Amino acid sequence: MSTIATITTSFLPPFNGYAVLVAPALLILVAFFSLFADKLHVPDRAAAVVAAVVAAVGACWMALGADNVILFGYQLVYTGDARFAATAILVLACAWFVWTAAAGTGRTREATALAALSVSGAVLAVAALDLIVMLLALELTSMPAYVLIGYRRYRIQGLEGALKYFLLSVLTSLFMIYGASMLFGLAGSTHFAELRALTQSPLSLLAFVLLIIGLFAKLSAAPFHWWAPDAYAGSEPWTVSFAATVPKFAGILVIVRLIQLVSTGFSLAQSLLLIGAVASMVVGTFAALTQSDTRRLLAYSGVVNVGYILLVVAASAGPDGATYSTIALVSSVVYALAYTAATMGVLLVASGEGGRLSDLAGLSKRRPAAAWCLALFVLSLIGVPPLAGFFGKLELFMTAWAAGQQVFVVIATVVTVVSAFYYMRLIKAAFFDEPERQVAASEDSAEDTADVAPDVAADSAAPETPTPAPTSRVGVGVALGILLAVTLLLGVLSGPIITWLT
Amino acid sequence: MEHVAQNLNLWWVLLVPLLPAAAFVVLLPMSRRVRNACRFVPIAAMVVALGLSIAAAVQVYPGSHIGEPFWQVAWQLATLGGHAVTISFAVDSLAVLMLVMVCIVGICVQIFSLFYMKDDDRRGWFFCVMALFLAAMLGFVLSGSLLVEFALWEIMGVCSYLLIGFWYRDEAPRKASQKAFLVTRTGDVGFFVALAAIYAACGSFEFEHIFATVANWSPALLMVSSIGLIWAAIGKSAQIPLSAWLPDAMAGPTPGSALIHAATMVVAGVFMLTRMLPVLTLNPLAMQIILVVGIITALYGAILACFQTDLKKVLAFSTISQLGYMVAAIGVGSATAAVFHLTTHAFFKALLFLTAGIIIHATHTQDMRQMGGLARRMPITTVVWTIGAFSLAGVLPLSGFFSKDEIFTVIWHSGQYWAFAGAAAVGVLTSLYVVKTWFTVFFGNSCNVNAHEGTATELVPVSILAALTLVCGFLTIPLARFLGHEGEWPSLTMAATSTAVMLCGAALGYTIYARQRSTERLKQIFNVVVSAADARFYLDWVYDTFFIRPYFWLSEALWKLDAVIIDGAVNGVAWLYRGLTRLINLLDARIIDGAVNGAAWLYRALTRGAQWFDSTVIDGIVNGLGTLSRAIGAALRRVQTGHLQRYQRLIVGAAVVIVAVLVLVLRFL
Repeated sequence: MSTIATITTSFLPPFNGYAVLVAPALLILVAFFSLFADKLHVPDRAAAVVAAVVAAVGACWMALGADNVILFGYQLVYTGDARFAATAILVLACAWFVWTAAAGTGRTREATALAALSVSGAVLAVAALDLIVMLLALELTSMPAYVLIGYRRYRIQGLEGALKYFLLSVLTSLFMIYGASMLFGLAGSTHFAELRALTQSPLSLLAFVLLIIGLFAKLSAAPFHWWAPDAYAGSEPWTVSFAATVPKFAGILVIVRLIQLVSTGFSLAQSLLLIGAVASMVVGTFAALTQSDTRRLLAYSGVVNVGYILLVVAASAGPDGATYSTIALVSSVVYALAYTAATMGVLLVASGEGGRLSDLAGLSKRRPAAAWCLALFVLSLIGVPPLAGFFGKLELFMTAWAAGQQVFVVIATVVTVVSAFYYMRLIKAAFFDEPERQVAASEDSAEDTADVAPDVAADSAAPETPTPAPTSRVGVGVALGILLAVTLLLGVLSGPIITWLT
Repeated sequence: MEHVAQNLNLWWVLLVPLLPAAAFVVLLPMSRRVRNACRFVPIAAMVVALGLSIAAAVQVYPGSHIGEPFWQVAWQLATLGGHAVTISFAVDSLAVLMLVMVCIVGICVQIFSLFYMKDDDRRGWFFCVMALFLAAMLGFVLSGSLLVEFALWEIMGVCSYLLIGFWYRDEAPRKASQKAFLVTRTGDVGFFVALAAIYAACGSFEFEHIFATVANWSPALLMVSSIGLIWAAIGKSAQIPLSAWLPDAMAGPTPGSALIHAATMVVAGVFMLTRMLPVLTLNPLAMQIILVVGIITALYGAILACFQTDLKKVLAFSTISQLGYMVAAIGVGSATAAVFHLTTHAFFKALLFLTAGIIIHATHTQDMRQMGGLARRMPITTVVWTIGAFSLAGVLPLSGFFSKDEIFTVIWHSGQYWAFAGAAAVGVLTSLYVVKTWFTVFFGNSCNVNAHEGTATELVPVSILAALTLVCGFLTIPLARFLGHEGEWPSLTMAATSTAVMLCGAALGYTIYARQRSTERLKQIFNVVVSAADARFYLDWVYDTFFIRPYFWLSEALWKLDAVIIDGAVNGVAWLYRGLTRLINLLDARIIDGAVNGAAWLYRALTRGAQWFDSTVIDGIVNGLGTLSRAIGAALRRVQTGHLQRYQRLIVGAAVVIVAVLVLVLRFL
């Protein structure tokens, strides 16, 4: 690591640590500009192109920059793991922006602006070591996601989903803020390092539990996952592909940090996390089995995957947690990338078809390349070697096993086996089902144009032509290619990456 | 737990607020159907609470001074910034008296609501909120520190918001609930300032500590804390100038109004002042302010009550006026007089509100002009209303007479004769509007031929309250003694004076309303008063002009400023962005061509693999896992109902369960 770092830093212009924030800063600028893109007389999708480039550059910058950047008096600290997470977020965002630029979403500039804001929030959240910064960054991450979920303003299901997401998320944010305020009252500081000195008292435990509960909800871990399936099912796959991945990434990092820094001396933290892990795995798996909607299925799959990650987080919260804290952090971040990349890939493939499983029928005939991408993403989610999902999961389970949670690892393994069943339904739909009738697709597209029309009418001030440009198949290919590359490379290189990070 | 036991162990008194609170917590996560079916749960909780309250009263008999607890408990919650934060409760004679009163009124209101709200979809929720409201009030009177008191004070604010806005689908209740909440919150600012000042002065919120050190406080802090407390009480007890919310609050269900007006919400302000009297008495200016506010409010309420045509509004303004009496009594330093009137008022005002509910149900209107001649059709209602109303006016053997006389006496003895004159004027006006209401509603032309007597579930609680109104007055001496004062019967002079005052108003009312004389001439004479009263003494106008409209102006101006700046910025950066995107488009075109060829190759290779995958992998796995998993999935699906409220309940429920489990684990491990 050190050699790479020294080589790259010598190439980079001399900068003090703040340059690490180039990516979020530029993304916020992009968001600002794209909000007013209609006044600039540029194509609707230009904003997404710019954002994709910025995200790609930001990812490289983040990956190659100096190690251990300490900003704002230890409020933001970019160590190896935070840097990896931020890079991962930017890569995912890049893929998403490329897809948006290629396929167009109607008012693409607005989707770009929202996503850019959310991504910059996530990049800050992964490095936050201060309660206030953490809360603000998390809110910045999730708030644009509410709007994205309700992106089709004239479609009632989308608005319903957005409202559910918003209200439940606000409710659980209240838990978090309540807990954070208590911690601040007890420690007299909002910084994690000072919170570490807290002793266990009923109030500090309560505060801590409230924070964790709020994060559970942000991650859609059971039993606080209720919003996710409904919110996702109401909106379109491409919004879900963003809302279900990037914000979750931020949440995982935050919960790991919180556990690492606050959990010392909190004997009950581990049991709370284990409860959440088991509940998520079991509830998510069984609920996913009966779903007939891709978005819902992946919502529950998200619940299950968060359960796996919580298992490892719990390992670092144990009595000898300090031994496992680094490996737990690293393996959960790596797995998070493996899972979110695959999820985003599946949903982006589904975006071209429709939200229901039956919409995927005949995909292998219509878009064979997309169908094969889908297959690989699904196999990665199941955990088939040599894909990222397999090694990620292996690392997670090994860490948990070593930390003495054998029973829970057995549960997780069983759950993984069962999960193959519902994941396979995606592949079955794409490769083996015949499309029921040709009308279904045209119906869907009719619906799409129907709710694009009022949007365009509302934007009558916009000078651009109201007819959306056709989807660029190459652009979609590039987007899926990025995600596929992540899925394959992360699988092959997971060993070196993990050793490098630890 | 550290007990500071003083020869009695009264821990079980804490169950009095905890039982209705538990009823609320249990019913909260239930479905609407279950809640509606379980209305008996809060009632049962309150009945047990009443039993415990009476037992407590028996235990502590013959009482002691206010603020001398028989038993207290302090539980240290945490250490914040080096200072211990404790939750403490104390049982003194005042608290016990209030417990009994609140429980009785609460049960009566609950039983009454059984029939009154029987057709409402959300009746279970109504009972739930009432239970929480009562729990908060019961805890409030037991609290041993100002911080606990403040927390419960806020819970009561929320409950009143929920009750007033219970029919949230209509506009009037919604607006009224917001108004009530915001106006009382304005008062709460005072409470908060007082909390800060008191903590700054003595470093504790415990009453014991506050009263022990109050003599040494700096005058400035004493002043700030007194004014803050008074402002808070003004908001909660609807005194001038924060009285605007109470009349609007009539938009809620009538039993809710009864609860707010008689036993809980507005009483809290007076009770808090009574509690803090040792602090307030050290500050003569504060006492003078309290007295002035009390007398002015009493006059304001009484005058406006005379001009109302809405039955419930008459009662609302009469509550404001009677609260003014209590506050005035505190202003001359007599806690006993205030508490005594508070108790009798609670009984007869709850009685009047519930009876008004019966009348409104029978006549389907709140407008008194559309009532009349009800005495023949609703005899029992007429009798109980008469008892309540005459008690309000201060007719001799009824409880209102005794408590009002005590207030008259203490004000007279304080030597503030202007205040006594004001109080007497209020007495005249009170009997005037009582008589007016009485004649308009029960006598004269019969407007409602279909009006019928209330049902037993409505009449029984009302009759209990009527009986208490009849009896309570004779408890003057024992009650005063219970609170540690040597009470005495009203002196003959005072009794004569107040009766004369009452008769004065009654005669006036009789001449005008029983004979149905035209009031035009009178209105001409008192032209100024009438027009002012029509506009509720311009209070709403003042708020609107000086607070609400400037606020809108400000926000609009800020919005405009915003728009100008943003538009400027957009035009400024326009060309920059255009240039950048053109560049990118150029790049895009170059890159894409290259990518097309690569993708085409990949396509071909991948399609070839499809055939193999088809036959080998999929078929085997799909058939592998059985229908058991599907069944479990279907069961889980049933929880995922799509109802937002249910999700919220599930989330809060899960959080509560987790916290509860952790607390239990902490206790026993």
